Amino acid sequence: MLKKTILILTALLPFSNSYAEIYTTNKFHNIRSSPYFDGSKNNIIDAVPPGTQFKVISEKTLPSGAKAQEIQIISEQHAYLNEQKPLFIWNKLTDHFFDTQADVVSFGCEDCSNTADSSLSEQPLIKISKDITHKIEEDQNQNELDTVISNYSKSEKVQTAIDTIYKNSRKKSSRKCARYVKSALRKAGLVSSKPYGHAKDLAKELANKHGFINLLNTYKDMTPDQAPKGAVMVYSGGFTRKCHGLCGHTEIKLTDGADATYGSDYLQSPSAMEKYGNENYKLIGIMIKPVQDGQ
Amino acid sequence: MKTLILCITVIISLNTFSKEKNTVAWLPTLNTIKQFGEIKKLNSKDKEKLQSILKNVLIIEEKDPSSAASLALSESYKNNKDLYEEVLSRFSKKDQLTLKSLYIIMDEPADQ
Repeated sequence: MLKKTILILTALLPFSNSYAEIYTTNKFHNIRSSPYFDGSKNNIIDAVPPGTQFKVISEKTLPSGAKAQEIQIISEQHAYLNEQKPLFIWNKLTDHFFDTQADVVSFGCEDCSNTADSSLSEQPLIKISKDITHKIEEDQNQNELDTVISNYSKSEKVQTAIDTIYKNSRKKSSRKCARYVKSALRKAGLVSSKPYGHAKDLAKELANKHGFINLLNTYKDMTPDQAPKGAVMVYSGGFTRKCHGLCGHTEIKLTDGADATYGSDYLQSPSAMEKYGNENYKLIGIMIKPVQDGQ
Repeated sequence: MKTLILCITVIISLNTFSKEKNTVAWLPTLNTIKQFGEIKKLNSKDKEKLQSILKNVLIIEEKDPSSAASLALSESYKNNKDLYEEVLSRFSKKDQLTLKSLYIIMDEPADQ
C-alpha cells in the first residue's frame, strides 16, 4: 500500500511542478541578462508589463534574501526576449505567490483576470515606464530588506507587542517565556492564532505558519544586539530539560541600542545569548514580519 | 580550609556579579553549576560541594531573573532529592526558605 502511494506521488510530482512553474507578473518587471541586482542598470535588457507570463527555469537566493530567477517568457508579445537568454527576473521579499484558478501561480497579482497579457502590451507605454520602473526597482533592490526591517520596528503592532511584554512581565522567570511571547504577538495582531510548541520551536512555527522571516537566513552572523527593535529572538539549548530535550528560550527585543532590554515572562539585559553564551543559548532565529508601513 | 575555599568562591562570585553585563566574567560560575548538575548520582561525600554550589545559586538568583542557575540543577535535584534536603539544614532560615522555593523551580515542568 505504502509502495503504491509513493509510486503514485512520484508519478504525479513532475506534473504538479510543471503547473507551478508558470507565473504572471502583477507590475512592470525588469528583465536582466545576469542574476546580479546590485543597483546597476547594466544588465537590464528590457521591462515587461503586468500580466506577462513566464516560466521559471532555475532559482538563486541572493544575499539580501531576494531570489534571482532564470526565466523563459511564455507570453507571445515578449517571447522575442527569449532569443537573448539567459533571462533573469528578481523576486523580491514582499512579492507573494498564490495559486490561481487556472493552476497558474501568480507573481503577486490580486486579480489576474484583469491583467491579461494583451491588455497591457503597448511598446510606447513600456518604454515610457521603463526608466521609472528602473529607478523604483533599483531603489527597492538596495533598500528592500532595510525597509522591511524598518517598517516592522516602527509598526504599531510591534509597539503593542512590546507594551504587552512590559505590562505582563514578572520580576522572575516563570519558565513560560514562549507563552508570554506568543500572547504578546497575538495581542498585537502579528499572529492570527497562538503558535504551537515550546520556545525552541517558535522560529519554524512563525516562519511556516505566520509569515515571519528569519534574518539569520540573510545575515548569518547577526547577534541580538544588532537585531532590530521588536524582533523575536529564538534560542535552542537553555537549562530547562522537559521538552523532549532542552526547551530553548525566546524573547522580544524591546529597545534599541547596545544596552537593549529583552523581554518574555521577565525582562533582562543583555540578551540570553550575550548573558549565558552561545554554547548555552544557541541563537536560531531573529524573526521579523513584513508589515505595511504604519500598521 | 574548605570554609576558606567557600568564602573565596563567594567573594569571587559577588565581585563578578557587580559587573553583571560582563557575561564572560560570570559565565564560568554558571558553567560550574551546570557541570555539577550533570552528575547523575550524588553521594554523601558530595555534600560540601553541593552546599558550595547552592550558595552560588543563591547569589545568582538574587541578580538573575531567568532562574538559569536553578534550572541547571533540575535533573540533579530530581535524582538526588534526599541529599538536597539534607544540605538544606546547613543554611540559615532565610536561605532555607529561598532554597525551598528554588527546589520547586527545579522540580517544575516547563510550560509553553
